Amino acid sequence: MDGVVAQQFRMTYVEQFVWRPEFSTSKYNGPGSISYALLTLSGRYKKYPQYGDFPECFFFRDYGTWWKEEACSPVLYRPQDEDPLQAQDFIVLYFQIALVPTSVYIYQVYNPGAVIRIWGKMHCGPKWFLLWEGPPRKCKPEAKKFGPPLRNINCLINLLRIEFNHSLLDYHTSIDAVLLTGHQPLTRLQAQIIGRGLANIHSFVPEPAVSIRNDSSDTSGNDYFSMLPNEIILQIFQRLDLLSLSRCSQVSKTWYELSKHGSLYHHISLKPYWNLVRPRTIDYFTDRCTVLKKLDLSWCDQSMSGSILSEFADSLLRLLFKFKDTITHLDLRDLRYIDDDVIDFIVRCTKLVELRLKNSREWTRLDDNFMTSLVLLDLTYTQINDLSLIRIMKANPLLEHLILDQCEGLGDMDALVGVATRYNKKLRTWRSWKVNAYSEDGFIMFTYFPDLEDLDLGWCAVDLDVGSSLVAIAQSCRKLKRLILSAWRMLDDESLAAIIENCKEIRHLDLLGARNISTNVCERALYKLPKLRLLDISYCEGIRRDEVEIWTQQYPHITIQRSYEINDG
Amino acid sequence: MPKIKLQSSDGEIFDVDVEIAKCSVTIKTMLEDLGMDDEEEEIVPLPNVNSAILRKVLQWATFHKDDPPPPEDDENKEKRTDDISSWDADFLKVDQGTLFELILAANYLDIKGLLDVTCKTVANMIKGKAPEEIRKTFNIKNDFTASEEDQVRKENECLFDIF
Amino acid sequence: MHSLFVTGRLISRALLNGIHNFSTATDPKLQQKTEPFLVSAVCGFSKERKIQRLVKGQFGDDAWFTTKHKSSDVLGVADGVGGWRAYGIDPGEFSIHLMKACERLVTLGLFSPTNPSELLANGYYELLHNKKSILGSSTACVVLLNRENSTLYTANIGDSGFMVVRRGRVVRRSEEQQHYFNTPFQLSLPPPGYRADVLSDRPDSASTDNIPVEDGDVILVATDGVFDNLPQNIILNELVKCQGERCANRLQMVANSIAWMARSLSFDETFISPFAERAFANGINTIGGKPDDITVILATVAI
Repeated sequence: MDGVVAQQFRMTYVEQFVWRPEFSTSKYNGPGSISYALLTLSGRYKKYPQYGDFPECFFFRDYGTWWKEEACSPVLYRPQDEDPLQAQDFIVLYFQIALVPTSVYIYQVYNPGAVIRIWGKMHCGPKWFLLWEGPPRKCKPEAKKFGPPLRNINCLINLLRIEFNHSLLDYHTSIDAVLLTGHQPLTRLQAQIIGRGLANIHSFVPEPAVSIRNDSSDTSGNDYFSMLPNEIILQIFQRLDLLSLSRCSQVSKTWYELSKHGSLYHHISLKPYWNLVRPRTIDYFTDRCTVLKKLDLSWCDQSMSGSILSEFADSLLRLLFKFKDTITHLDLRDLRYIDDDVIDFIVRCTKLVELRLKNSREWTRLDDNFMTSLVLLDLTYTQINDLSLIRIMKANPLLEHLILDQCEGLGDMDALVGVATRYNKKLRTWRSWKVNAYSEDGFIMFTYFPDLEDLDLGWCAVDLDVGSSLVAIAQSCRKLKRLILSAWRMLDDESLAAIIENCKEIRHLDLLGARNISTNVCERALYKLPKLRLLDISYCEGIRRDEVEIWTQQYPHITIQRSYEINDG
Repeated sequence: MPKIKLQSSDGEIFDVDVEIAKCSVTIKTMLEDLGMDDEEEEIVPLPNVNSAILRKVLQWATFHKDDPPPPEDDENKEKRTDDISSWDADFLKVDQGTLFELILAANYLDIKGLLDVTCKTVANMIKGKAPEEIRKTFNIKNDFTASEEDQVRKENECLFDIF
Repeated sequence: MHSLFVTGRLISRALLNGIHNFSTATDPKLQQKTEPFLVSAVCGFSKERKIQRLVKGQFGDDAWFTTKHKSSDVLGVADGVGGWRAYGIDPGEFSIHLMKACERLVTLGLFSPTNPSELLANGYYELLHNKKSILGSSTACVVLLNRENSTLYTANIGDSGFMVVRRGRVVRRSEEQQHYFNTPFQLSLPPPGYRADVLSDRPDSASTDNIPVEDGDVILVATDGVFDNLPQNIILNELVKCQGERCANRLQMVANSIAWMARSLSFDETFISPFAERAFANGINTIGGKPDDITVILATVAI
């Protein structure tokens, strides 16, 4: 908002920090702790301008390109509709005072550069406004107060959505605080005038993909498209994003018929259009699809509230009901309002091969299950209980990837691993980051999975005496590529040596916080594991910083992570 | 290097390495079915492709002769359009007529890679354009009545919340 | 077997789900009463001059914090158990992290303004979530002034403690918790595998108390370096000077003098300190002060 308009209305200039962080798609820590938690984003910055790894600041879980390389990482269902900036995560922050924004400052205290978009909205307002977007940047390792130039929107906002792309980062990014500045109207009347549209409301239209310059109209007057057989036109249409397809259907009657062809709608991804999706969007596809196989609705309820959400759930139920016999891949990550009713419909999709329900916390029970062909199941941050999970595991012998990161509702992990040893022998991925319901005897059962490639037991054994189970796991699971043992405080040289001897396929090894491992054995890992690319030895106090620096020079193809607790100067 | 003779619809004969010619599955099948030998002076007729287009096709095939075979066409095939190589982009800087003829030729000759890149090129010409612009680009006649057009527009406004 | 981590998580989750103390500046109800608040000052000395502490909030192996929230003012001290040094573990680490965790919980409003014992417990369990492996043990004493009902709530584990003085008389003084002589109750995080060998008291063994306060009351929160070396009457004489004091600078001067006296006497080899008296009562023949880290938080209630 420029100074002239502000003057006319005599608004006050306000700077405010986050009042309450509302949502995040990725968290290092669960709800039971304030360390590294989303909650720390509220209020003023605590550590900035210091640079480092602080429990007082918010940490994301993922970083770099590592996460994309895993066998269970999400593959785009509809690459034609990919977001050009490839947003991976976002946070939503609530501010107390509604402002016409002038700037947003993000205080990054560790590995900056991942912010790619900033959106703003009124808490119960109808739509999100894009305030800024830009590609991720490689930054120097120093704290950064990032304040990009915002678009002029002339509307009141008190909610910010900040999107991230971590692919250029070397390690987790950490944020200390977010500051929103702008002008606050002095009276209700002023607020209403602004709200009704002082200036153009800026709407987001998805950017088209890169266009080739061979773009000019043909002057011969010939309609070459009519030369092409329909199968070829369909091949061309197959490469169009959903928005372009919708425009094509308005071009001519032939194009209308062709653009509605069912083969174009086998796979639907609405994630890049998350802010434009409405219940009738779902209905549009329920009508248009004949055979729906892959459906990605991640993030799509973030711009809806109140009664529209229940309409959305209804439309979703209708869609699922129509295609329950054809859907094979269902990606419903970060959809906050998947409730028990929706789950009831999901479990009736008998052909499901891949199901992602990360971050949906409204459902708690899963009474029946009719899925029998599951290969991948992602239940990160959900509240699934043991009984429901066991029911699914028993029914799905083809299960290869089971992701249970931060599932706080699970009480007996030993029993779950036991069930898996009998019913899910094909397991290649087992992830249970920060699930602390194991006992010392539970871990030994992982020896029953010789095909295991990805084992994430970060923070699962913080104060357990794990003794020989790690050695046994290393000896049995020789195909391990990714092994996460963060905060396994008991981890010792013997276990690490066993891993080095047996798991030659390892690419990603996380030993954060293992006090007892020594420099010698660690160095052995670097030269004896031929495929090692990422080693995390942060907070391993038996290893000195200068040694790590030497290793970084000697092994340039390996990324060695080493963050420290940094004290106030 | 063994060669084969290809004849375009307008009678021109092209002398081509067998390996390059075999990038066309149609030609490859023909050769295998007819049991053609290298020594025989057999000419493979291609009645659906004229000489100008055939020349372009062979130019593309020659450049791409060492490419790995494209993956099986299944549901998971990549449908991106932002990965056209710069050589291909330059190669396809032609008028629309030629471009579409190339599509037809690639389809008839069953050359997956060429069909893929030509379709991508056309798809990129469609992306980001409003319906009227698309009509202008490709000279497509708008055969909707006013009310039909209105109805279709309303139908598509349901898709996303854009205004 | 219930691991410490699981217990902590269950308690924390209950707290974080239940109480949400986010205050709003615009809440009219709270503007009307005149609300009590604390004026405070801190002073202390490290026992060993050669151990350099760069972090604010530490004196030697002792740690402290003072912080405010809409609902309460909170003070805390923790005395790191020095014996860990022999095992290569810095005793100050546990105490400073414990105090910082409690401070963070208060500033985020994740505490009950009538239950400092729960705050202490949650601060303790937070230590398990730190990426760094925090080992060691300490005593702890947390004192909380609830603005709504002008009551002081306290929680104490071990031999640190507090004293409340009103118009020259001791209103309340904390009781030391000792297992046996010179072995106070303590919160600890032993290295995994050594849990059976290390003395570790549960957070719920804290002794708790609540004291209605009046304007002008003087509160002292200190580690045992003070109580072991200064007899009660000397402390009382100093605290009396602060009755009703609202100037932070003058409070600071008294805090400094208490700390300084404790320090001087701790190195006095002929003085019969409270520590020596207790030793004698336990059959140990010793005299003189007890060299120790000293932390003094001195506060007055202003209503």
